[in-house]
Formats: sequence, structure tokens, C-alpha cells
Amino acid sequence: MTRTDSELYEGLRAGDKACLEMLYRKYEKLLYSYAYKMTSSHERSEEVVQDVFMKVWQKKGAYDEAKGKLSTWLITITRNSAIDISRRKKIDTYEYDERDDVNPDRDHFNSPVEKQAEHHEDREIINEAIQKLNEEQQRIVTLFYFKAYSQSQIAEALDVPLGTVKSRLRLALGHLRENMDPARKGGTQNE
Amino acid sequence: MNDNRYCDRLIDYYNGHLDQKEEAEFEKHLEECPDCQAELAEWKALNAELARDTEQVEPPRGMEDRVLGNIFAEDTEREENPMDERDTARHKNEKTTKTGFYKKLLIPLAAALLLSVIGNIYLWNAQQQTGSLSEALLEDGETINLAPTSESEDMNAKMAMHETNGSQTLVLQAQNFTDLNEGEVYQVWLLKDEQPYRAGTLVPNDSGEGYTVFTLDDAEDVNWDTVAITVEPSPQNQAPQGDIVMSADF
Repeated sequence: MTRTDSELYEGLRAGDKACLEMLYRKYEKLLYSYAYKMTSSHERSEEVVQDVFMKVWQKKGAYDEAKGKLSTWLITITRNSAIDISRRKKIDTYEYDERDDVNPDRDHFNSPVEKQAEHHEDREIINEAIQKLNEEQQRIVTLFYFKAYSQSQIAEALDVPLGTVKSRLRLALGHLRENMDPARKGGTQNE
Repeated sequence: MNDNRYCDRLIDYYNGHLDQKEEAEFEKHLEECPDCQAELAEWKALNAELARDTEQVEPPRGMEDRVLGNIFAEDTEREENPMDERDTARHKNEKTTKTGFYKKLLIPLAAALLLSVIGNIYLWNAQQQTGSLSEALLEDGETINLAPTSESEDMNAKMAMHETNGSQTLVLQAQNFTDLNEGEVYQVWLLKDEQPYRAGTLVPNDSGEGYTVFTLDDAEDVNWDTVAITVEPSPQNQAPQGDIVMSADF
């Protein structure tokens, strides 16, 4: 007896906690993994996921079905939250003093996940579609999507004029889209 | 209206690099610019596909209970004390709750410490509540209750010191720590012959509860004579400037 995302969202709008729980279970791993990709931190990723579902629960009318899939909306909120939380942590580093002090022990209780994540972190390329791009295009995609760099930061990192960033990005994303679409024939996952 | 000056800000808007004023200006532009709307929608859609393809990482144990627990707990607080609901078009400046932050922060801390200090993994499995873990850490050591100074009579704090491999770790639990102004923090200090040593920042949650776990790397042999908590204007202070709100002699 599975309910669709729309039904779950309708349910939680009406204040049904069970619907939020079901939605959480359905997307926990996806959003956590994505948050980890953005933040490279398990602690922040958990904070991000909590922030996302807090917003979903508290701002119950914010999602509009006409604007697309619920999962896409959740991913967008996750991204924004990851950006905010990562930047805030960089400024308010004092909040992490104490944690940093005991960090050497952290791996011991979390090692399987930690090791796996480290291994994956080394991989700059997250999927075949990106792999098919040339090196500069791969970098621009990573800097733009996963590092959330500003236009000027991208220009600096790639050593290209500021004014050309957007056109380079468009080109890279266009190729990425082309590379992805053939693989997507026959339906998408998760839905 | 298609104004290139604004269209060029789309990347910085999407990646959250505009300040509040610029963001508001851009959003006004966005409403009127079909090109930017289309490009932003495409970015979001493509990003969602990339996100779905991201390597799967296993969420930490107990995360569901913590996250949902915090959300529903916040819910109860909100019903009692409704907050304004700012509907932000992008997402900015929304605070995550201190409660959630603290619970989350403390669990890895406390778990790590349990392993290194107590070496008893069963506690980690059995007790996922921050409070219980912190209690366990406090129970394991010799607890010292801090006494409030006159202006802070409702405050409670207790602490314990653990020693392992020549380094000392301070665990401190606080209640009713509610008297902070914007930007201020509670700072814990250890003193020896009136020389202060910074021993962690305490950020209480909305109910005034907080914990700190702090390892003193280069002070293993010191026999401290006093512990004190001050209110500091900045968390970066290396020496106490603010008023002492609680203290105790060892």
C-alpha cells in the first residue's frame, strides 16, 4: 500500500505526521547522499536533511505540483540548505572548535561509512554523462553544481574571462544533457 | 523585460552569492524574464538528475529518530509560541534550530569520547539520546557542581574531567543558560593560579540547555584549581573579558 508523493504531501499539509515520516523514509538516503556530495561532511549532511524536512513540515503550502516533481523540489531545497549551512559553518567556525578536538576518534565508530565516503569523495566524476565531457567542462559542472561557486569564482578557478563563464556553462550543461538523455530512455528512477 | 545586467546574475543567484538587496532585485527581474526563468528551471531539473545519480551514502544510525524527533518537538514549541513565517523565494537566512544542531553535534562527540574514554560500545548502541550520553560521561567522572553568581541564580551546571593517554577532557552540562544578548556566547575556562585556559564554547538551545566536551591537548599535567563560565562578546576570545556567571573550585 504505497502512496504517491502527491498523496503524502497532501497528507502532511493536513498535519498528518505519518505522511511526513513516510516521505522522510522514502527520500532520506537520496537527500543525505546528495547533501554529502555538497558538504563532504556527515554532520552537516544530517543537519541539512533535518533542515529540509523541517521546512517541508513547517511551510506546508510551499510546494506547487504544477512546478514539477516533489522530489525535484526536495532536491532544490536540499541544495539551498547545503549551501547555507556550509557557508555559515565557514564563518562561524567557533561552533566547531570542540568537535574538531575529538575528530581523530570519529572514524572509529563510523568507519565503514566514512571509508566508503572517502573513497567516493576522491572520485571527481559522479556519473558517465559527466565523464564524457572534456576536462574543462567537467570542472565547470562540478564548480557550478557541487561547489556552488559564484560566477567570478568560476572565472578565477578556470582562468577564463568573467563574461565567458555563462556561455561556457551553457555549453557544458548542453553536452551533459545530451549525454544523459539517451541513458534515460525507458523512464526515470525513483518515481 | 530582458535586462542583461540582471540576467548575468543568474549564476550568483542560483548559488546564493547575492546579498539580500541584490537577491530581492533579482527576483523582481526573474518574475519578468522568461529567459532566466527557463534557464533556472533547466538548471534545477538537471541538478535533480545529477543528485539522483550521486553515489549513495548510508545515513548514520539513529538519524531518522533524531531528525523527526526534532521536527515534531519544534512543532510543539511553535504551537506554544508561533513564529513569523517568512516565505522566502530562494531559501535564505533560515536558522536551523539550536536544539537540532546541538543534539546532532553532541552525538558524534559523545560517541567518540565514549569509545576513547570509557571504551564501552554498548552505551552508544543503547543510548542515542544526547542527554543520556552526556549523563553517562558525567557519571563516569567526578562531578563538580558549579555555583552561580548572584545575577544568575537559576542557572545549573555540572562538569567532570576525564583523563586518557595524558590528555584531559572536560564534559560540562548546563541548564537555564538563557541570558545571552545577540552575538554573545558562554565560554568555559579552567584556571590555575588565576591563569585562564580556554576550555570550550557553550551554545545553549532555546530552552537554555547546552553541553560542551572539550579536550585540553597541551595541558595534561595541570591540576586546575577553578572552573568558571563567563559571558563573552566574542567566541574567539583567548582570555576572559566578560562577567563570570558560574564557577567552582576543584
